[in-house]
Formats: sequence, structure tokens, C-alpha cells
Amino acid sequence: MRGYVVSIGQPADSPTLAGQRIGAREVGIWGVLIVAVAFWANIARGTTPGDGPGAGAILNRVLDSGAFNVFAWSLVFARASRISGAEPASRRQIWTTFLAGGIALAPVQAASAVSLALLGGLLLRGRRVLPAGRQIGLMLLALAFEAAWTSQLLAPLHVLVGRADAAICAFLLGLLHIEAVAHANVVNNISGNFSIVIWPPCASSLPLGCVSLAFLTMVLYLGRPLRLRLLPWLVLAFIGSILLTEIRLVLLAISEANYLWWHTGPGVSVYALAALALAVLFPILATREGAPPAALPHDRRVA
Amino acid sequence: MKTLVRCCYLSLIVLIVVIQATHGQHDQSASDPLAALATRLERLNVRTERAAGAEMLIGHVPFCAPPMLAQLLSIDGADDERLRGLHAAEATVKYVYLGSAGEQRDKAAMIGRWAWAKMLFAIGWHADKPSSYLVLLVLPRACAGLAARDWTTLSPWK
Repeated sequence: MRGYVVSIGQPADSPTLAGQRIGAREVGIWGVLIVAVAFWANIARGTTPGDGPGAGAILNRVLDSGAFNVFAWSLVFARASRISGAEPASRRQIWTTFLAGGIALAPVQAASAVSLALLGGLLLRGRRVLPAGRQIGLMLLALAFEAAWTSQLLAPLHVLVGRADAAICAFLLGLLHIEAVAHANVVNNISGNFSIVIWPPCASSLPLGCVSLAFLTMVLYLGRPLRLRLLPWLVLAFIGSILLTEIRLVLLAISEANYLWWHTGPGVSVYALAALALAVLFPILATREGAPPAALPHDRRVA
Repeated sequence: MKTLVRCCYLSLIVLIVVIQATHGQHDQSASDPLAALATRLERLNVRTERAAGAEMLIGHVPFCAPPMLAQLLSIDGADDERLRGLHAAEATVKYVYLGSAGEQRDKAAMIGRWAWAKMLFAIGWHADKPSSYLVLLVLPRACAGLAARDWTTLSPWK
């Protein structure tokens, strides 16, 4: 039976008005579309000095943005049609989506992060949002965290971590009987007469935003519920990522030939594959012991 | 009503794409910040030359025999290593960033000023994108007049 939908909580709306109002699902999809466009436009534009124009450079930036960004957005769009029910959108939802879009107009990465967080929060707190909508909300929050974590505002934090990384790297080189010292964010390999500078993008803290996004994406992809007992596994994923970065820095600091192989040569792909494998491994281990996804009723099939 | 909301959302998407695309081109303007710094120093009657193998300018002022040094440092402290050995006893160090100059470097204040300037730029209140580099000046103490100069024009902000 079809007819006008009247919300009980909004007596001011006449049945005619309610019928003319845009649906909550449609507004949800518009919202996701707006923040997705802002997110990818930011990446395509380039967020660091020296990012060049041209289709080739734009494509490279999109490809370099990380497999899990693409994976996460694919998951978001795959579930967008089940974001909420068919009832009319509330004014709060309509205006919050406008606000998120308005913030996303600012051509800075932080604005994109704020609009993602705003929309994610709206979906998580919405009373009429379906489970798929809440999952999208979580994904948007994870994407917001990643964008904020890698933004220039937090660069000083990564510089500090880079200094700690330099000290750890010099210590590890010492264990390998290679004489090395660290000054600020520079590792000076005295034995090899070679030194490396650890910039914020190379610090062990930077990949953690991506690791948390990968963790959440994998858990949701595997169809497992989010539970507090997954947190220790997330911490383990962080530790694994930090260790992998430290190993990479040691390999880079051993000699110039090593540096070239690991920094610009085939080693880049080896490191990327190792990081990807690690990012996938921990969520799988975390969900391995959990309950299997709830069985579908017999009268429902998955298309 | 539905159509109006849809049109507004669609306009937002188009606007986002247009603004991001135009600002992407805007970012390319300051491709060589050290050359821009040299030009600003020339305006202050400082003749400059690039130090070989270093991201640094050596400046010569007519009334001062010892040269002054100028270099750009990231405000987040990523290239502070380059500061090692620069603090000579016979020199005064000045940190110039977005309209302020001081002998002490306050990282938190600089980041705060950068964030504020970036926000003003993002909302279109300010036309120039704030630089994420501060200007470090090493001025010889022998020429007292140099330290007293107004160096804020090297990193302006109005």
C-alpha cells in the first residue's frame, strides 16, 4: 500500500508537504556523493607543494592515494542504497548535508576531513539510519581520521616521531654492527659514509591512519560486527606497521645502493606489498575467532 | 521542493570540482620559494647569491662587510637539522614568518598562525596561500643596523 508518510514527531508537516519532501535515502546518497567528490578532488588537485598539473600527474596522485581509499569508497557506494529507509528526510539531515558540502568547498584537506566527520557523525547518530548507513558512517569517520592524520596540521607530530624513528634506526644499525648516529631526523651511517633524512611522510606514525582505515574496511567487508575485543588487534596492527617502517628505514640507511633500491627502485613495490599484506592480515586474524556472520533467513538470497 | 534540494546538492558538487580545480592551478605559482625570497631580499637592497650545494642564500649589504645568510625552513621543524652549526656567537638569528620577526622561534605560535592564514585563504578571505616555510636570517653582529631592520616583508601577511 502506498501513500504519504507523516512523521509522528513533526506535527507541523501536512501529508502533502511530507509527500513532496526528499527522501532520507536520497539525501544520504547525495551526502556521500558530495563528500566523495570533495575527497577525490582534493587528491586530484594535490595537497603538497610541487604537485604538478596534467592528467598524468593527477592519475598518479589518485593511484598513490592508496588501495584502501579506493576499497573503502567502493564499500561505501556498494552500501549507499541501503543507507536509510524510504521515509522523508528530516530537516536536520538536509541541512547537515548542506553544511558538510559547504565546508567541503574549502580547497584544503582539513575541510574535506571535517565534512567527512560531520556526515559520518550524522549517519552514526541518526535514529532512522539502517545498519548499512551506520557502517557507512563509520567508514566516513575512518576516512576523516586518515585525512586529518596526514594533513599538514599534524606534520609537527610526524616530525617528532621522525626524530624518534631516527634514533631507533641508529640503534638498530648498531645491532647490525654498523656505526651510526642520529641528529634530529637525520640518520648518519658513519661506517657507510651515508646519511638519510626522515621527512614526515616517511615517519612510522604516518601510515597509522591508513592502517586503521584498512582494519575497519576489512572487518566490515568480512561482515563481522565491531566489538571492543577487536581493539587489541588494531593495536597489534599499529605495532606491525611501525616495525615494518623501522625495518624499511634501516634498509634505506645501510648504503646508497640500498637506498636507491628501496626508495625509488623495485623495493617500493616490495614494501607496498608487505604493508598491504600486514594491513589485511590483522583484521583477518581478529575476526577469525569471532562468530560467523548471521545466517540469512531461508526466504532471502544474496544477489 | 525536492527538485530545489536536488539542484542545490548538484550545484555544490559542481562548485567543489571547480574550486578544487582552480586552486590546484593557483598552487603552482610559488614553484621556487628560494627565488622568491631572493627577489624580496633584493628589494631590501640585499644582493644575493645561492650557496653552492645548499638551500641557502648568501646576502651582501653595502654597509656591512661580513655576509648575511638566509634560508627557508619548514615550520613543522622537518629540516631543523640544517640549523646545526649556524648559531655562531658573532651572529644574530631572526625567524621571520607571516608578518612577524623574532629572535626566538615559537613553533606552536607559527603553526597557529599558519592554520589561521590557511583558513582565511580557504574561505577566500585572503588571496595568497600562506607559505609553510619560515625565513631564517643569520645576521652578523658587527653590523648592528641589520638586526634593527624590518625584515617582515620577507614573509608578508596583511
